[in-house]
Amino acid sequence: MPPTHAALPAGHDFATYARTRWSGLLATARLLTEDPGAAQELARRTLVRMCARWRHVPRNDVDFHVRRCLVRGHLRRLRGRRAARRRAVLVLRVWEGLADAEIAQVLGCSVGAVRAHARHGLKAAGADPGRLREGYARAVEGLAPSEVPLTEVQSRGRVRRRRRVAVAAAACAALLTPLGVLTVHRLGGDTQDRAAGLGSGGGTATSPVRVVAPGERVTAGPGIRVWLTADGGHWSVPVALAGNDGDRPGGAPGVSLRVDSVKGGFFLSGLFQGLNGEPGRVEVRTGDGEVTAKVLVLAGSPGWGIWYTSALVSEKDVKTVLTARGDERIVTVYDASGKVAARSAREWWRI
Amino acid sequence: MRTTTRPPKNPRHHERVPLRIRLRRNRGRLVRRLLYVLLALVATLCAAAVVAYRLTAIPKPHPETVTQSTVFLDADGAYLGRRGPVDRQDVPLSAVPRHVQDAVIAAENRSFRTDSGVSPKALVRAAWATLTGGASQGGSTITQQYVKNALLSPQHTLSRKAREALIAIKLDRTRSKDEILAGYLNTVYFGRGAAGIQSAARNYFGVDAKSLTVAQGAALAAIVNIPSYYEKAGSDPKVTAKLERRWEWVLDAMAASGSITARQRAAARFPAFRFYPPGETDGQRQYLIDVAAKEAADRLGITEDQLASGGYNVTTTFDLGLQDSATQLVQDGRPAGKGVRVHTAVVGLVPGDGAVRVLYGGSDYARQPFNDAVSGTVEAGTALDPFRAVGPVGEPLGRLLRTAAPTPMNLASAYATVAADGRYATPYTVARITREGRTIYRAHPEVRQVLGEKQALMAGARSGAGPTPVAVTAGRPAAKAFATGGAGGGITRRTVWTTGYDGELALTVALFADRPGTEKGTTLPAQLPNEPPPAEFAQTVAAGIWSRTLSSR
Repeated sequence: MPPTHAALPAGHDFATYARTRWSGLLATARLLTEDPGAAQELARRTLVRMCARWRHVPRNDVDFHVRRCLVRGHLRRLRGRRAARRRAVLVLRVWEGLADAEIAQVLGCSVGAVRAHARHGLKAAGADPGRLREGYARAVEGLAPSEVPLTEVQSRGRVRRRRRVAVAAAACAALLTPLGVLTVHRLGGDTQDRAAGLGSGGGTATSPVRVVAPGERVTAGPGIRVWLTADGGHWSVPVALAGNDGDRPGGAPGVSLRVDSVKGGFFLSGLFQGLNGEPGRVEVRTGDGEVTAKVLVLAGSPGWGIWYTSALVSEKDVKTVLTARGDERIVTVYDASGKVAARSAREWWRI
Repeated sequence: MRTTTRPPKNPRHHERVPLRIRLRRNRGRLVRRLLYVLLALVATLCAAAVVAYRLTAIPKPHPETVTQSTVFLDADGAYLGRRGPVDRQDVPLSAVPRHVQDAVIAAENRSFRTDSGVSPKALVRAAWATLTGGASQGGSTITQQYVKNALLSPQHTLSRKAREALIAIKLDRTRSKDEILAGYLNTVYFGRGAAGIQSAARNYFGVDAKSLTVAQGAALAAIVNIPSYYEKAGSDPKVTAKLERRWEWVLDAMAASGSITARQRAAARFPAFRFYPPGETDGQRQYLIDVAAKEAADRLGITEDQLASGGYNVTTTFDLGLQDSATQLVQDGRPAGKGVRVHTAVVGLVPGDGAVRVLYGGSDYARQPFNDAVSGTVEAGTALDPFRAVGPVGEPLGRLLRTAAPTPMNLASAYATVAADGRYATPYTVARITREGRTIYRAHPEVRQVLGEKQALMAGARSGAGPTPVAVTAGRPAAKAFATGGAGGGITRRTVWTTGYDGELALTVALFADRPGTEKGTTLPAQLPNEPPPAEFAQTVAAGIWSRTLSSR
């Protein structure tokens, strides 16, 4: 039966299509395979495949896709056999009456390749297209008309479709799972980091500790320069009294306090010593509460250094400092863990 | 009958299939073709990369990263100063604590020990961070940064980026990770003008790289990210707070990777920094460095420029604490006269050895680079008389006696000879020179007998500067007797020399004055002003320094 296709009703479903096209499909399969049994099987398998992906087949191009499925399904098993390809080209060209360009689209090759196949195929068959067509017609005539095994095709198509869906889902899952795990992990890590950052931010105020090189002058107040050398702390003050303007650290933990008179107030400073490492905080009690002092130390945490308050102290506050009773501590040094490391025991001062 | 109904010439032979359908039908083929093109492209690129890799040579480090500065230290190893165009010194990796190395790796390139010079993962992560606006590590590995910093000239082009990656891969395949890390640590910029871990450790913490603690190492590693911003760490609270956050992050990463234990992590406290710019020093350092640099270059047989860019560590003989108190004493009570400039020179050296402990040669190097103590000639006057009276003496003391105006250094060495029972020691200021941990020069005192023991004793007795036997109860430094001599007398004193010595130190203080000459830039000797009394001042200075030396013994 020549491939004169009966018109299909608009919006046809698979069953209608299969019923309408079954015989044509069978004929083409027969011409491709030359074996009635194999042809039947090929046509049925083609329909199963089409049934499985029927939803995705473009409705305005169904014939092409079915034809391509048929030809490729046939050629797939005879991969690399040139004779089968030539035969397919001849069948498509002579029996189906397709243009070379369309044949190329069916086979997925170039138009030139199609022409070459046709040429060689014709030469091998030793016949012209007319004779060939007659031969095809004869071959098809011998085909017993049969009914399309619709139920079988549809059930197998369903199975096939389900299997494909399952495979696709598994592949997606295999791809997405590690990605998801990674994202969750990263998010978790971020929140942890943030929590750690917050936790460290809320510590107690620490004394600003500054490391200085030996002999490095630090301007601590108006006209006041202090520095450290390996043997002790040194002061250079505007109103210097006679005597050695230096203070040497001893061994036992302790704090010294000196008061220097400068323009606009009094400057409190001193030496602390005997610490294990750098101080965490140095508190100075003046008249109106505690002040956190600044600290200068030499490199290498020698356990001693100079403390000083950057703000000048008023005369009134100095008086309270000077009149402090023996048991009142003016300067307290805390170590890094917040424990009291040293206190000013007996004060000595200079004004 | 069927044969007659041959299929008519199909109209589709002529009718063109619409483009949309044609494209849909050919989709598979088009995709396949595209794939081939892509594959070919990738293959070509790979081949090109292989060829480029083969053709790329690892360049020599550019000169800027080879130059090192020379550092001067005092006798106890305290930092005196440096000479050289860049603040950088190479240290071997063994002198960088492992936790510092790990901190830098944690901060800059966590996969450094395992990656192959470039890290595609890091690149993707950096790109992702840029896209999503998150602040994270850059995409460059430590190897790439090293190549960028040390081997290539700074220019920002795409081809340079590619070259950088190629060299990084090649470097990684031809050198060990430790070599690369050492190169990186020695060249990476840490801010404050300091390149390399050694200079950074000095500039930020005042210590050598090998003494860096875990906390300090992590802080330096955190700084590498934006050195020009973090260099104000310590003085600027905002910068310090930001650095502290990054420091925590570095430490957390180190703890997570097992570089430090949980206990070390918990015990780490944010370190104290030196400030930048640092406080000024007393203006004395340059004099000391000048003298020591000249001597070091001389001893090594190289020019001072070669010394400055050679990366040496020069341990001098100076005592920084003593020097500091000498400076303070001199500058506190210096006599000043109208139109006259009073110069004070102080030299203290070790008798029988020649090591110079104190050398004060001017108040400020910036105003007067001329060192009075070494090059100033001061009229000796009576200061040399004790030696003239003891009879013939050996060289070079004999030569000294023939000069009317010796340098303070020479005079001090003469008295040191007396202190060492007549053994003259050539003064020296450089005790040791090392380079990359190897000692290449060590000073050996040049000592020779120039006075007989009796002569020395006699000179000492005549000068009266020797150690005075004092009672134990009165063992105060003030009991030290100083010999004071000089030229001129009464109110017309031109120079004052005060000298004292014992077995461990010979100290000379010289006072003289000059006034501007008639021509610009020249000076003429002048009389010392009388208020305060110059001799008294010189004695005060000498006694002050002496008390310091006694207390530090």
